[in-house]
Amino acid sequence: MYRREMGLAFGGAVALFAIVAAISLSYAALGGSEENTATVLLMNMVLVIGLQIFSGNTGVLSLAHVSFAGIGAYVSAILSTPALVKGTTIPDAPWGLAGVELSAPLAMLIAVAVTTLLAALIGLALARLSGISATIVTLALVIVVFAVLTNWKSLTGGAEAFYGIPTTTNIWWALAAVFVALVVARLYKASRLGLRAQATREDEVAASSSGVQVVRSRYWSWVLSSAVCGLSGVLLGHYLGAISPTGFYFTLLFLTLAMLVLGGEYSVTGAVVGVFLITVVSEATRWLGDGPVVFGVDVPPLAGLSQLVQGAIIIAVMIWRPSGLLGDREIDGLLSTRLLARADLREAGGGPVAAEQRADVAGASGAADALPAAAAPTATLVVEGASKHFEGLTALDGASLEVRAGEVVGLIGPNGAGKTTLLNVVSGMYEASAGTMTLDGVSLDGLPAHRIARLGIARTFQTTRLFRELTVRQNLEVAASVARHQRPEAARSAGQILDQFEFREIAELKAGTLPYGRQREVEIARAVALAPSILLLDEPAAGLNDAESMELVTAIRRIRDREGCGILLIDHDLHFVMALCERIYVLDAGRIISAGTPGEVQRDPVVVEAYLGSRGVQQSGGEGPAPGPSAPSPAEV
Amino acid sequence: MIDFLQQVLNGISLGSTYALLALGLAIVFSIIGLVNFAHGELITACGYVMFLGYSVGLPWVVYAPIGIVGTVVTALLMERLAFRPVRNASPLTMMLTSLGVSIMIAAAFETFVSPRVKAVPAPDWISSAVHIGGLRIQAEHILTIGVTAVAVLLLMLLLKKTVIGVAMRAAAEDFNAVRLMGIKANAVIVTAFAISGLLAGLAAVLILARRSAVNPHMGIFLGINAFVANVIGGLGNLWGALAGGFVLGFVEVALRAWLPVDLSGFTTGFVFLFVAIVLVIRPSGLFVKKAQERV
Repeated sequence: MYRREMGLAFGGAVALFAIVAAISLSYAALGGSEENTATVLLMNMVLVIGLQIFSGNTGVLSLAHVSFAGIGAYVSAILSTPALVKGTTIPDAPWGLAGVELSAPLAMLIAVAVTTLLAALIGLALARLSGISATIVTLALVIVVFAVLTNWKSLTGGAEAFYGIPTTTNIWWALAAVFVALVVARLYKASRLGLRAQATREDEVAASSSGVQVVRSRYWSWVLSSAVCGLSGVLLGHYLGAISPTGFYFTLLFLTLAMLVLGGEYSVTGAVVGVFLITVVSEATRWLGDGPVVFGVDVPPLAGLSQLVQGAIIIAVMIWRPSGLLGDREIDGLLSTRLLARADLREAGGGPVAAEQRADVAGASGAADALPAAAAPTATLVVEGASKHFEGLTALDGASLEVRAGEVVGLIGPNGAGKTTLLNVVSGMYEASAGTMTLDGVSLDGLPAHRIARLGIARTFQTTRLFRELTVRQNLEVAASVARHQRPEAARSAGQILDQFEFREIAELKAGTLPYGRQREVEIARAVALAPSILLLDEPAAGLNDAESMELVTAIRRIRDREGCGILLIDHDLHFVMALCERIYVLDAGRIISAGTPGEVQRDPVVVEAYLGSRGVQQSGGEGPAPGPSAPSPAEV
Repeated sequence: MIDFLQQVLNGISLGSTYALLALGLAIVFSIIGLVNFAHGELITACGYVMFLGYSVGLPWVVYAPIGIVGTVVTALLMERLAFRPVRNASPLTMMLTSLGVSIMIAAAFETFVSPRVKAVPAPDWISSAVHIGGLRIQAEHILTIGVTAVAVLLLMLLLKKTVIGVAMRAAAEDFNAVRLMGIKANAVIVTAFAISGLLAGLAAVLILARRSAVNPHMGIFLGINAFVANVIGGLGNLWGALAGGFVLGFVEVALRAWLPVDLSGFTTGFVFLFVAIVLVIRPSGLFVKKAQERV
């Protein structure tokens, strides 16, 4: 499946390239100025695709791509410009660079490498940021790089043009670079790394609790993106023959941003479409501007007009179609969806895996109440004395509990008792203020969420946190790919999980478009895809009616039987909890006040008091702790 | 010592204008979560309205207030035409919209007025100065600091004592709750934009009194500085924005005064390096509006 997806992505890149090449070459054939336009278009395309790799996959808007183009252009220029020219422009260049005269291809290679290296260094700090903070830092980066290029006169020649760069770039070079950029961007988007980056884009918290290292996946997107942007700048320098810092500043930034936004930043095809459309519009405004076309510094009226249009396009797109013309669709999208669906049918129809799974499902539902005979995993989660303070508020006050493989344990308690806090501490979302946690004797203390997930503790959330713009299959694949890597013996493919949960019809739908109940199921499936030894469920029955809740009881038991994992769940619906759990912990004001079988807990006067308080006793009912002695209690069966 | 005091005075003065800008940005952000890249363009707009007033022969005392009114109108237009349609969209969509607005406004002045600098002269008394000891105090310093102090005071009064002000503070905490209380969302948001326009207009008049000229791109950097001030202080936090404005003013003045001559060109570079480092060290702390985001 994975190879097929990568193959399709590659095919899509090739198809896209063929179209780009056909259009640009036929336009270039019209004449010299047309060839110039086409070549510049192609180099812009490389830059926009480079930007797409980072911003499209991580959802973090970067403004610094132009800076990396600038750095690439300057490095290559400094290395390859004839020493004779540099003797007059930058005679005092440091490290004897004034005398260096490399061949253009070698200089270009080194320039891309230097740009990538610099980006790799900056990324160490930047990748830790998300959202608007990250964007602000990229903006700061643009300004810092511009200041350095303008003021490090001995190296860059300052604000004036750096000229004499060997003009080796032609339309063929530019085309080759577009090909590389397209292939890299499409393969990355389809790859597991890319998918993880997209998961962080959709929901950082859910991504890390699915075992994704948020910072790392942002980091690699950043480095890859900068390399492609550097390549674009290098080519541009060797095309123009003369560059200046302003060439890699706000004008280019706005132009490329408009291109990306118009096509849709999640889509590589969109980047290509955006580059074409904005270029056409820019050419049109230039023609409309009616002034003479001057390739100097002084073309302000025309530049103003085309920026006016770019600004208007950005606003219009944001208002009417914020995800751009193409959204996240790719040229091969339609084709691939069809092929995948067909392949899945084949797999589901005859594969031995599917057959085994069906048998399994049937068997499991038959013996839902019995503990699995072959519950091999022995994983035990032990929490001892966990406390969590928030600025004076004690949410968790020395709570201890234990969850063993193969059992379903409930955690109940009045609102504000600290149930979700406990789950957050166990899953690494919060660091405990005190206490210890171990999974099978391995300490979990202080581990970040993704590490805990990788060790085999999966979770769901009180309010569903899916990767909304990713398909159901992709949602599962994010977790399944982590599991495959971390615990290959337990892991299963996303396809198998799809079968297990009977998600085949919704596999290619975006998770965010599903109805509420379905979303909750997908979230549980995603947690199961992590092949957990402990599964934490935060109010799985919230918002479900009684019938649905009882279905969920069966479903959760089935998961327990199949996976052999231990399940710890929180819920307010006491009927549900009593029916499902073998053991129950009652949490109140951050402490475990009672523990035992559902029957024992129900009879515990401390629990009655905590739930109803002294005032509430007269008006029992409602959310009282007593579903009645007749309520099914698996532990007593 | 005198030199140091002089720089402190300069820092307070420059910091005041940044603080005014940062406050306007913070008010809007705190309510609708918009990082308004086009905030700086309000200054540009003020400059061109003043330029218009100047070119029809009005005196400064007349065209400066007209400029401020023009800025408020521009802010309201921005809200109505560009930001209202994307009000409920993601922060990224709103931010990109504001970037589009920023690009458009600068380009519009460039295309329809002129890419060149236009004169907006300030009266002579503004640059007059008194000397106390070795300290040179300009009328412009006093005006800047005075206007900022009064504006901040009035703003705080508005936020504490009026219904709309209290509604705005509440909206910064939880917009939906405010709507449920029967206060119109539009009223709160429009007021926020009006205030941000007013503060930007005041800042613009003070800035133009120093520069005496306007060009289409003068706003962008000032806008970015307002941004930076917010980032330093923690975006959406009004007191933080105020403090951030002064910190930025001091840092810039200090760098300009004490950076070796051959590095002076790097002033902006250093300022932004400082910002980048601040953000990297305190990634969440500086940008958290509400702590509820984490699960």
